[in-house]
Amino acid sequence: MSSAPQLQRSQSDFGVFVGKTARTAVLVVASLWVLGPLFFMVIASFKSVPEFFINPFGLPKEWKIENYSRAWTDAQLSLTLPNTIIVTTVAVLVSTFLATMIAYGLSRKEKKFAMGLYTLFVAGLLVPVHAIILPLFIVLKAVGLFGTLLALIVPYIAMGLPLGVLVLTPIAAALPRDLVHAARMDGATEWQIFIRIVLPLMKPGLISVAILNGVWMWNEFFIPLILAFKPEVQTMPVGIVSFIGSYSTEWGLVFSSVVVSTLPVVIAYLLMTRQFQSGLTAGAVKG
Amino acid sequence: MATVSLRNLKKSYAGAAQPALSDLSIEIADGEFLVLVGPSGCGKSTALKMIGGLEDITSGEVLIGDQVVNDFASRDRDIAMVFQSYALYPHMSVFDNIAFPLQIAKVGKEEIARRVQEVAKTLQLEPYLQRRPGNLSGGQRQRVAMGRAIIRRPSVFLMDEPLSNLDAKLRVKMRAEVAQIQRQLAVTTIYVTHDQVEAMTMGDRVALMRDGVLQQVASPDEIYHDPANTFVAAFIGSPAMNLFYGTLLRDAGGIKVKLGDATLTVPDAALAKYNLVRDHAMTDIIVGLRPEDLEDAALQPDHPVDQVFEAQVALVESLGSDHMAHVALSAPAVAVEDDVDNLEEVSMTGDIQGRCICRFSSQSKARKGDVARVAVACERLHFFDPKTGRALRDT
Amino acid sequence: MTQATLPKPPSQFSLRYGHLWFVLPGFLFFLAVMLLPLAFAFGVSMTNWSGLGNDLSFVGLANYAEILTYYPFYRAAFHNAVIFIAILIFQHTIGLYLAVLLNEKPRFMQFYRTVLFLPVIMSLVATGFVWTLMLSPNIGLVNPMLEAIGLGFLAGQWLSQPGTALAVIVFVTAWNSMGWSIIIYLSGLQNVPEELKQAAAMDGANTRQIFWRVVFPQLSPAFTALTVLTFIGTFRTFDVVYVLTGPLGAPNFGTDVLGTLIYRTAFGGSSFSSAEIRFAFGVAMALLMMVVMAAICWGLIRILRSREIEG
Ligand SMILES: Nc1ncnc2c1ncn2[C@@H]1O[C@H](COP(=O)(O)OP(=O)(O)O)[C@@H](O)[C@H]1O
Ligand SMILES: [Mg+2]
Repeated sequence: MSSAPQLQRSQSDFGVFVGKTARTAVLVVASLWVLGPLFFMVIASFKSVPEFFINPFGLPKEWKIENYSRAWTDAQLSLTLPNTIIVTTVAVLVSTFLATMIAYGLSRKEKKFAMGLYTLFVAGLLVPVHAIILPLFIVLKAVGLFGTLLALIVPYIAMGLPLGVLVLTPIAAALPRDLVHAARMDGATEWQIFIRIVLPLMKPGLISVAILNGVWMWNEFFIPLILAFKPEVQTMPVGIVSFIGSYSTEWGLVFSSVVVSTLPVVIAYLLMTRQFQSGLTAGAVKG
Repeated sequence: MATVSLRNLKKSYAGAAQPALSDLSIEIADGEFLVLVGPSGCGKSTALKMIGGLEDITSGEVLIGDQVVNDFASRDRDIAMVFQSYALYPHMSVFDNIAFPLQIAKVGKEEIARRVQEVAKTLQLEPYLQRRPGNLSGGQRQRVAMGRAIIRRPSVFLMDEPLSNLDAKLRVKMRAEVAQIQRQLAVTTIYVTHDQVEAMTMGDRVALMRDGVLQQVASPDEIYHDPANTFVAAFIGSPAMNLFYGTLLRDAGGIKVKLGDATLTVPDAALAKYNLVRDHAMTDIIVGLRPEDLEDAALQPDHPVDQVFEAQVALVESLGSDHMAHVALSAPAVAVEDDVDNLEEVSMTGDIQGRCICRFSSQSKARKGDVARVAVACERLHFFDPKTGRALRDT
Repeated sequence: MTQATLPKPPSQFSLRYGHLWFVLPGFLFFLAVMLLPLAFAFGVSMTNWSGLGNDLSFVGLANYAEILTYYPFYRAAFHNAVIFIAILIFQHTIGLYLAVLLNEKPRFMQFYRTVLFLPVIMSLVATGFVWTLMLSPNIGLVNPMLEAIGLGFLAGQWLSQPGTALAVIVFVTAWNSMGWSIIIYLSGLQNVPEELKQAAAMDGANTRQIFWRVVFPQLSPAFTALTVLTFIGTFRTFDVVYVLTGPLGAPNFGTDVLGTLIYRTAFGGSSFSSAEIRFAFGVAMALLMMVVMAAICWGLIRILRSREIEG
């Protein structure tokens, strides 16, 4: 009587062990699938051109740090890296701030035009960049922004708004009305209420939106492909692709550029993994 | 300091069938503590927000001092408000919460520090100034909210159920404290509550509202002893006044009131107070009896026999000091909480057995199932018109 | 009132429309960058403008009519659809399975989670380069690895064979987007109340039954979000194709998608002479695509949401 359940138990223990090992194996394989290519790329970024062909797979015999310094000069990273940082930072800050203002302004459905404007902004998510980019190009040229970083910053600010409004409006609407009322009674002007009460209270939402927009702005390829024609105003993704056009065999340089362009986001991600994951999914699930 | 005058205030929310507030007129004296009381949803907060400028005014006027402030922004009205939710800024320390109105007013740093210290001392908040509101207990949060209101020394305080989120014991304590602070500062205060005990204990005057309509404004004593209508009568007092349909009779012995099988003589004192009762002789009326005016007749042998009725005891709840006896009266009870229209319906079905609550002293031997003799202090009977619910006296 | 001077009362206008001041600055950006260009684009789509010069005339809806019989448009849309379906299946199987594994809180769960989400934050350009390297016939790692495990016959010129190029696009897109499905499903799984599972266990359900009968139905919001997200993402594919197989969708348009087709038509690909640029026609395709996508998204959300309510 007593040995039968015992036996069953030990069998299932074995089953559990096998199952667990198999599951761990799946996770390990998946992680390798992600990390392997990245590792391979980092290795490649330290190889010289001949070594690619002599020794494509192993660690470099000679670590060519020059790939990075040459990427800095030849692949124009000295221009495109600061550009990317400036464009992303400015556009993220301004866009998130403006989106917060809009979200607060529209957060009460019963206000005039609130629902209509909200729908309009969110519908902006569907606008195809392909369709508006040439008119945009013409407008930017007409107002003299073409050929400056503003030619990217201004569109990015506007294109960051739909997601920002989408994510932030419900958050603004959920702010306790009493807090706004209290500040109003305490003598604050509408602007003071926004800056001193609303903005700090929406901080978690702001961080989500900033990450959401920051990641795509940093990585955006198509818009600068059309709107930024020279390295002085290009961001890294386009800079790298156009560099390849002229040096297609300089693999080491290409991959060191790719590493440089990816590293800042990866570092930010590793520092704030939670915020990135929840922030990005917040936008995605709403969208 | 300032007076506050509300003149024919009206508020209709968009899409609502009935106005949330209709024709509210009250004059509030400088330094007065006025309590606005009524069941929830009756428009108290709406009235307060309109005074504070947080809700626009459909019609009517709000005056602070001699100034019509209808169109003034909240910040120009010199008013401070304490919210039911306290509305403390969660991202600021207690210090900054209290200092906020002064910071906004661009008061100097040292002055702010000095005044916050002062307020913190009054409210015993000194140890908590660097904490966030999230780390405070309910009572402490309540004090911070008070502190933020008083630091500015405004002309008017508005308080919207400031104690209703506290537990019962703390509420009693804070009740006294708030009232004391108000007396000290002598700032005109409008205090909203749905708790009639708060209303009775704190206010110089009490304004009772129902469905957006003001029912009566009077001192706590007056509103208790001379309720303007059945609603006021039933709302103020705990347990509530017993209200029954009865018939007025007139015979040689004077005016009598018949409640089911019981008949009580109405003494002159009551007739003098309710001077319209005589005109209603031989008609149906509503009679109000406060539980404390009903005593076990066995304990009052001298009580006039024509002011006694007999009834079966359905239930006795002992409070230690008193025995609450629920006796069955063969007269229809008046249901006041519901719509006024229902009054007539109830009077039609006259056979309803009414429960009458009596506050017997603890010496009473009456037990469940007994037939008790109940001595009624008839000079304190209340009489109301059965159609309108109004007290049968000139106002 | 203690103030000496009377404050200026706010006007009726500011009471009514005051909140719009907060909207205005953002709205101006939005107007200039999105609305006006969109209106302009709509106007252009009814002309035959090439995008350069002043040579244009009004053609009405002719561009739209032409799209209806324009073979490359359907070919590209078909490729988008293939990518969409493949990614969808991938996310709802492998992605879901990985999320379930992570939800069992294995050791190093934080590590796996961080790693598996990592590609999402990488640009598609970088992703494209990584896999160009991996798949390169000369210096890539994939072919030698296949040979090592005895699948050498599969090795090949991945990106230049018509049969495999599109599969590679799918594969790379999957690599880049797998993190989405894992995180979205994982947060869905974590929202399933423990009591629900315990109640089912008390009722005698085994692990598998608990998952399919109790947990899975709770995941439908995640399913909806992911499906819509995947739809939008895959139909906007551009960067990956541009980097891996070029703006022509090589080989022989085998990987041509709507993004590259419209780009090429409107702006000219590398090997297109400027004579073949038809800006207006490209814009018409983009606008048509926007309308169709919006309609499909709306339909998808409605269908999936109604399913959620039943479930
Ligand atoms: N913003 C609003 N919109 C529509 N109706 C409201 C709004 N605020 C309050 N009301 C309605 O007005 C009435 C009075 O509300 P309120 O003043 O909050 O009552 P109280 O504070 O006395 O509980 C209620 O019936 C309530 O439903
Ligand atoms: Mg209220």
